[in-house]
Amino acid sequence: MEAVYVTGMGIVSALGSDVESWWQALCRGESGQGQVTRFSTDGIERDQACEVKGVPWEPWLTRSEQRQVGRAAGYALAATRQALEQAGHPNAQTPAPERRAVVVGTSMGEGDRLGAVHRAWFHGNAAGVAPGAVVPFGSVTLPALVARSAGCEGPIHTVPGACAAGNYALGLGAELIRTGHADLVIAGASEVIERLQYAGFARLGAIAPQRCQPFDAQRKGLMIGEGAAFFVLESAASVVRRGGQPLAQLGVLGLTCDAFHITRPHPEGAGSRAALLRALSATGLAPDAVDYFCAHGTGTEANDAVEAQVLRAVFGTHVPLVSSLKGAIGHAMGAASAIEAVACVQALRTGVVPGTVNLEETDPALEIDVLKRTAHSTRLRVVLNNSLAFGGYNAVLPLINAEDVVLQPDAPASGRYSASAGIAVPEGAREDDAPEGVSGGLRP
Amino acid sequence: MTAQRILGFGVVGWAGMRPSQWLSDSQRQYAPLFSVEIAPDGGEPALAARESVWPGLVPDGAGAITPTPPPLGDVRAFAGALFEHIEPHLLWGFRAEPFLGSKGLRTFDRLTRLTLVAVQGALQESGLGELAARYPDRFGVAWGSAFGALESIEELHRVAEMEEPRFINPNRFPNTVANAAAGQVAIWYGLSGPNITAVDGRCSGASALTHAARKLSAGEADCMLVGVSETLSLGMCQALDAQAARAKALSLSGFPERYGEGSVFLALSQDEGPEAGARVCGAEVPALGFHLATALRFESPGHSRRMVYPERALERAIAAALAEAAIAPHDVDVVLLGGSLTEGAVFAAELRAVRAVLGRGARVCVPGAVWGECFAVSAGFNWLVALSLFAGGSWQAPPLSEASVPREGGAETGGAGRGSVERDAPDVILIVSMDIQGLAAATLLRSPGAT
Repeated sequence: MEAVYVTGMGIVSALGSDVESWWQALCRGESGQGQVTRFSTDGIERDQACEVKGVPWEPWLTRSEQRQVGRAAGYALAATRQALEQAGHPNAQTPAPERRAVVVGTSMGEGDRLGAVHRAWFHGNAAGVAPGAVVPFGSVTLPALVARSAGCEGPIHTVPGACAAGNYALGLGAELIRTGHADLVIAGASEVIERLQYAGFARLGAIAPQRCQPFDAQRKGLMIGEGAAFFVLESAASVVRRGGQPLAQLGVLGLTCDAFHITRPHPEGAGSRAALLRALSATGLAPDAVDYFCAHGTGTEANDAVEAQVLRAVFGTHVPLVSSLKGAIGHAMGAASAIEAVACVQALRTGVVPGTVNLEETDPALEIDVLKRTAHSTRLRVVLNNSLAFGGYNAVLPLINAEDVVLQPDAPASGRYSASAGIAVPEGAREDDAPEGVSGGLRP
Repeated sequence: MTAQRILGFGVVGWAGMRPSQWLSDSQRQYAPLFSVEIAPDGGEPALAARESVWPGLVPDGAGAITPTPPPLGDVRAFAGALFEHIEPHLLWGFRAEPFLGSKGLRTFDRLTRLTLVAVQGALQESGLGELAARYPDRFGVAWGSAFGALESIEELHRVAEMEEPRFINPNRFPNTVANAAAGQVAIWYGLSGPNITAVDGRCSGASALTHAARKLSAGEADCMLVGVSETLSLGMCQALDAQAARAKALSLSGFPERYGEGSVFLALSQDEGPEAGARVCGAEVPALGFHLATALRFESPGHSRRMVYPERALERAIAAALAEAAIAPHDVDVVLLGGSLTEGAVFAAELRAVRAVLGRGARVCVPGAVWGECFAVSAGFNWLVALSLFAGGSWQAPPLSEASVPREGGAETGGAGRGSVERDAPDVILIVSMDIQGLAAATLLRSPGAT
């Protein structure tokens, strides 16, 4: 199994639109929440959200692109170009275009453009619909734009995995590399705040009246957010060949479906727990190897209760550090877990775990400790990025500290880790099975 | 290389569209002699499994096009009045209740209902229902659609815009999320394995197949229900009508005029080898055929603003699928194109790409001429055509003389006669799709009896 590395990442979010300033704001415990400005909230009982301010994608797009693309594509292109720049090869031809792939997650894509087409039709009748209006209905636009900007001619996929779409994109992107279908994958997710989506969540009673307080005894719901995060994923061979610098290693995505309810999580978290265990076992990790759990933590009664239950069931009395970023950046729906994956990589790189903004008193019924607003410093080896979604989707992605891996481009990649460093090898495998310096093995 | 076996299928769709009504003589020779008889009782579109579909798919020679009269109140009359330049064959008359019962359907949209019924067909025909109930975590879903939940989004947009957001029905709001139909499949049938939604335009079916194959290959599931569904909203039809009007005014080609809807599902398992047969959760189950390889490739238009028919991407996808399946180009017996023949430019691009890889002797068929442009479901219907051909169905190999290939403009250049009806079942079938955004896909299927 080929090891997969993150070598670049980019972000557009309510807290900032470059990784460094976004990360600093996150660690300071700031919040991107404010009054909704993108549309009228008349007739909707809520008016707060975590919007991306201004047009931060402008520097990353050509004038022609700025005129033509929608917000979701604008966010996606800006984040992709940041990621390519960090990876150090924005225009290089290695790997070959045929060996470059794209996987994009989203929930509703260019939802605001679709809304505009519908409004034109409702108010202008047939004459209100322009011939070119078919394009926003399509679904290939986002990955096609990303693929063009990154010179990708291999497979391109859109995976609308609702609020788990970011983890889906990263995990399935890594799968393309592991199965030998690509050497480099641009993976990420993009989402925009749109009136219908906002009103729908409000009608579900899911949006908090004032602020999002994950895991708090007084929690009253989520706060809608938006943004994008994109990553450059590479095989070990690709990283070594072009002298790249891995930021983190990706584990194997754990995927399950609750098969219980379209919006509510399984009350005992059966699917979520199975996804977590699948991610750990497929990556070759024991639960006690996990140092930080980046929770989905939406601030709704049901979500936080289920996540706490799953944490207790899997980790027992040794629950790792837990925090939720939703109080700071809102719930960016399809892009949420991709944005949170940026925080996971940054936590691994810097040894700083961002706290949970707006958490004042952890709900005692949850029976877990959750980091409050203040960030926590510690060295991290393994981080889990957790996500749950409409449709009963559960997706858990492990990320591993890049300092703990030794790159061997030609090794029979395994993704296995040394027990001597405190991380268990998979069941049935012996520690000394792994050749010295095997790809993905821990640094001695 | 690993391969997958097809264990069964289910389908919902319209039948009885006559290609002779709108195809030119030279185009018609690429249209197959068969059509899908989905409404055996002559009434509403119905669930069709092996018994009812295959006789329709594999009729005996000429006269096989079997038009199905639309039920009373069919939207075609309504849609015909609404849209001047296109003919959408919508499945508004479809009722899921006879298949699913009447409980629990109230909040589902048409997309979900079609999808649930097609999955029921796949589970029933493959005989896997009992195993799915016993081992729910070993059954997953990979589902694709070009436009997903468009109709539900339009419905709630209308409420928010023409009434007030506070009147949005919270129970119908989840339908607006693109993965809702796949999630409802998992809930309805209790399938808790991996669940993946692919929204990759007309290549969504191929995309779903690749996701499913990888999950099977990685051992994450014993059976993946792989399918495609498509429903069109009125707003979408309005946009297509405006597009067709402009195309006619400017004499542009590449815009279909007939559109269809439907859902097709396959039950797929990992191939255990010819000796071992197909196994699901430890039980041996009968298989219909091998799914061998699917490849997707992308082609950038560069700085061009024109629509891209990704011919080069399709060439590369076909070559990649052949390489993965270790099949030589000359071993491909039939190629099923993804277009509907009314899109001259798409047809020409697909044909050129196929010939570039397989040679000029490639035998090509365009089943989409029967059912029109169905976006993601076009490929799904082609999966069924392939299965029917493996089962010994008759098919037509038109004489592909140079003169018989329509120009890009869709205008015919010559009138070669019909080819003879072939009656030997093929061993290897190639199914291709391309999306105007630059994505192309190739799927190879091989008959279980082929060596």
